[in-house]
Amino acid sequence: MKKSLKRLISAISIASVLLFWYLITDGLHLFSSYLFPSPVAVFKAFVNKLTVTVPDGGTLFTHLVASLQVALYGYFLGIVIGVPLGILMAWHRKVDLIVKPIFDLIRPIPPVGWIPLMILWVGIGQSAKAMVIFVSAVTPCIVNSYTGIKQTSQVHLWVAQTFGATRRQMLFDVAIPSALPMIFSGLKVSLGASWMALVAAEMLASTKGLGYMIQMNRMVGRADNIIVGMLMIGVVGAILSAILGLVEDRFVKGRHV
Amino acid sequence: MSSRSISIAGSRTEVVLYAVAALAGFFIVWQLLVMYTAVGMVMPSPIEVVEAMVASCADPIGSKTLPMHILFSLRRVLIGYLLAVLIGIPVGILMGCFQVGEAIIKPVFEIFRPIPGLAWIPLAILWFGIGEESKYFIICVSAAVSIILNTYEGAKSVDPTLVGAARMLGANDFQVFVFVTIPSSVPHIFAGLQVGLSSSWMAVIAAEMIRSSEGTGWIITTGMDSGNTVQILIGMVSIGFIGLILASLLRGLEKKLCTWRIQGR
Amino acid sequence: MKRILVILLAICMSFPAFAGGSSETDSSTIRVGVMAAMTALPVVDIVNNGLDEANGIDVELVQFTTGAPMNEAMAAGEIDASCIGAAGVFALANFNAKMAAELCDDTVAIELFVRPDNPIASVKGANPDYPDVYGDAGSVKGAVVLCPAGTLSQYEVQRYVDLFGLTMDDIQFVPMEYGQAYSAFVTGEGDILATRSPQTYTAADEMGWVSIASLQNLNASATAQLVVSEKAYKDKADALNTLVRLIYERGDYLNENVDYAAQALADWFAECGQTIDMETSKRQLATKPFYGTADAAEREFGADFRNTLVDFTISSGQLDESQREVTYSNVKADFVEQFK
Repeated sequence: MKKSLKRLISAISIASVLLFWYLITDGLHLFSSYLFPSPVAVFKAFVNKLTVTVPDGGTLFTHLVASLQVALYGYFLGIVIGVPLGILMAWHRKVDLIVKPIFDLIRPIPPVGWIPLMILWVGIGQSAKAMVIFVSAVTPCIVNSYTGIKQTSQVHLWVAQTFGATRRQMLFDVAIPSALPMIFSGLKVSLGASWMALVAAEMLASTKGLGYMIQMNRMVGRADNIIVGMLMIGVVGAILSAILGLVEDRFVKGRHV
Repeated sequence: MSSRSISIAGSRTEVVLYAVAALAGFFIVWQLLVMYTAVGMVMPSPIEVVEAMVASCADPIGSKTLPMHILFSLRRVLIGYLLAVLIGIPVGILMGCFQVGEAIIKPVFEIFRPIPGLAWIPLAILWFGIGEESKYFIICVSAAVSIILNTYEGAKSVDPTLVGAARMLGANDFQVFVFVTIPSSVPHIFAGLQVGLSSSWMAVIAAEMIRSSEGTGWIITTGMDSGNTVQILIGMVSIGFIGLILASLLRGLEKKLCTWRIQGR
Repeated sequence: MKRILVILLAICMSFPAFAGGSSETDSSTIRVGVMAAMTALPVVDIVNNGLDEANGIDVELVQFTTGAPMNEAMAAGEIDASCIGAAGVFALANFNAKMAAELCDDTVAIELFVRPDNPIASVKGANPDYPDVYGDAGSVKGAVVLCPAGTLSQYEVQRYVDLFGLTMDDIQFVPMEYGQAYSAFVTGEGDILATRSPQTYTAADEMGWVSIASLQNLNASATAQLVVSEKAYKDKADALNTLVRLIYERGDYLNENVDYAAQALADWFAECGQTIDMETSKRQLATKPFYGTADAAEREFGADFRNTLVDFTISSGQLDESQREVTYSNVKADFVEQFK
């Protein structure tokens, strides 16, 4: 299929979602406009929110910047700790045997549950929120790097060994390069997870941020601003993952997962 | 698990031994931290938590005992999750196998994907009320995302050699779809099912924030509201353990269903 | 493996479903949103004693854990009424809900605390009009305040800094839910903590923190109220009239029978998954009496609500000045008329 045709279909698709939304709200008045405003009302709220700080104390831009800072902070922390840990677990049997059971136990605990401990360890500033995001971000990094290394073809390792590679060389020249696509898809999942954890993280001592904006507007009952916040999270999340996709295309060769 | 063959070929007893030692170490460190450091100010010790958990099997928290709370949450999660599976896999296949499907669904999906369950609550109340349906919705939304994404990527990454081979042997489009595309995306789909299952368990907190008077998420929310850390931990530990059990059940099912290739996790 | 899955599924599916309230109910049924708070006690006690049915109405309690969904549920037509504090003002302003009854005085429940070594604790009565309030402009300026946003507590903080000629910009306001704020304060974060009963008792007795102000010694008055949806106000007026009568009558009864009320309150908290002992329960009731039939007859209905909550939400930018009129007009004294 031609690229331009595909783009056209995509555009029509988004347009019809908007049209449907308009129809069930302003068109047919199926829902209370207080809880589910029409796309027109939401667009007005969006334009309004660019300059007005009421009722949540910030413009859309300040909220967005604050959220990006927190989310990327937590995300990079997740990568820096998660990827090496995953590789270490897959490469060293002892580390695997010890870390895996603890990891399996901690993993299902939702990020909000960590808040009391985070407060104790890092206080109530920016870092506490970043830590909540870190908890969500680190899991896919660990899981995918672990799986990626474990899936290294045995034959490749044998070949390397036969040619006299040290274990270190086998890791850095064989296992890690062949695990890169898997690791990268972990980074993608992790980015999505970090961004999704925003709302939970910003329930903790925030004065700005998109998640905080949603919570405050729920409190005061401004559904138009809530939907602006939701769509902002959606669109920015899509942009972030598109950027990472470009990076991946550039740096990772081979299998596209 | 084939993927373990690189380094862990060791005996099962050894794995179990290390696991027991690691977990025991974890709990001992926790206990010591609570007894001798500032952690004790904000967290109860594991012994207290276990005692409280045992006690709450007989004495109700709120109007129900802990096992009942767990069953309520389990029911919500399973229904929401099954819905997500029923919706997610077909949508993912539509996106992955058909270019028109991809062009239609992908842009909309990409925008909705990052919106977390918590943010859907106001609209869920409006669309589905405050009964069980809105909770299923929150859980379904949270789980569907990773199921759709993985199915899509699985269907996209079908080895072209296999498709070519099938075609050469005279397979038509339908046969290629059923006998090549679907089976070869199964490992990806299962990876999505796993992630989806754990996200649906985590979403139970958000779902039960809507309105509820029972459930593990409710236990945590009420605990947070009154600052009762023991209660928060009871909820978290329950979610952790049940999540672990569900994940292993699913992993077992995966082993049964696709013996030819397991994406190790 | 399969068998286990099947059994698991079977257990879960056969588990009794508690379907949510259907959107259409007959005109004698009132679905009331309640939370783990004293405010809910009159209505809860009415239901527990079957007084609703004895008076020809049917009250369904709908239990919420947090405040925001209560308003959302009312706007979606899922509940007819709610026992609610400060957040009720948004229901009146945004979707024409009506204030139908005053439940109790909401001011004593919330206090501001500092640790004993904080300089604020060493100055008292700096503003001679408020002799019991601690602190002065110098000690309060720059303080980090842990407090949930958009609640009566934030109003309290605002009033407190006003006292010393300061504004909210002179302090560092950190919005946090009560539970989190409390544990953060325990670990040494923040200078001032806003908290509510029953945590106020532990804060004073066990932690030894100093109460620097309460809404009461700031001379503020605020009420918790019964808010009803626009639709219920129109369609279920008779049933609501009965409910409001029962609420004030039950208020009289609960005020007179302190031991009974304390037990009922402790039971209600327990049902909501929170534990309080009898002593705490009694303390709470002693400082925060319910409104009874005499109050219904004498009080100027909704005055506190207008003066405190509406003013505060507008001045803090949560509501727009243009919403003041509509909010005022949704304070409806119709149902308390029967006591005059």
